[in-house]
Amino acid sequence: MPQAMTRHFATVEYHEDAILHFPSGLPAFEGLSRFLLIEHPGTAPLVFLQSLESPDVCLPAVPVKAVDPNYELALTAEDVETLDTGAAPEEANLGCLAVVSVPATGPATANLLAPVVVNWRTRIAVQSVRSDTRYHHQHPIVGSGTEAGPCS
Amino acid sequence: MLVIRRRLGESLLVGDDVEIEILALTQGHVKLGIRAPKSVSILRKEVRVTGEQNREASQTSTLGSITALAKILRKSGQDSSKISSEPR
Repeated sequence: MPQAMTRHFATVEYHEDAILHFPSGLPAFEGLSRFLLIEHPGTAPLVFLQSLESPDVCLPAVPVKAVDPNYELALTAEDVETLDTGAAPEEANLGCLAVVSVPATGPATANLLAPVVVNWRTRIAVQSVRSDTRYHHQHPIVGSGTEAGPCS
Repeated sequence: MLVIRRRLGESLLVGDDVEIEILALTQGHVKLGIRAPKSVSILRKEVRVTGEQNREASQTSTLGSITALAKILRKSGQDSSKISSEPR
């Protein structure tokens, strides 16, 4: 099995099908196109997008639904084309992750302005930067999205 | 901030070699055409903001801080751990 150097987990072995392909990289990391999706029991529901080309680059992410259960995706025509969803994008098996910043001090935030959208069929992904102002790039995480009260 | 009024079809010049033309106006939207040398980077501001956010997310997050956040999320019942399910 191939191995990868990672930012948080030293060297890990991985399956090829855990690789996500970002054809044009991500903003600030335009040259990086292959990322390993790492799920770690201790950090669920958070996951890691670990660059295979630059071990130091690792983006924590969380399913958008975990932050905002009512999140509405708005893909541009260009993103739909990159994701290669076929004729009916609304029926494609898409995943939607928000990149998370967890500074040592200060609140954790999720970038809901630019979700990472994955086509699970092809493993192609894009970070889709919205052009509306409906969601913020520093959406506070804790305490948001919960329907249940604090004691449940 | 410099404020300039322009009508449809008019343009303005920035420096010696950047021209911005008002191409179309529809409800709440402006379509701009930009003529500039290849060396000039033109980005939607959201893309730059996202780039800064990505860099910060990668550099400042530690496994300790991520694990602590994960615990809080699990505790508050926000664990929708099946990441392959998509919001409609």
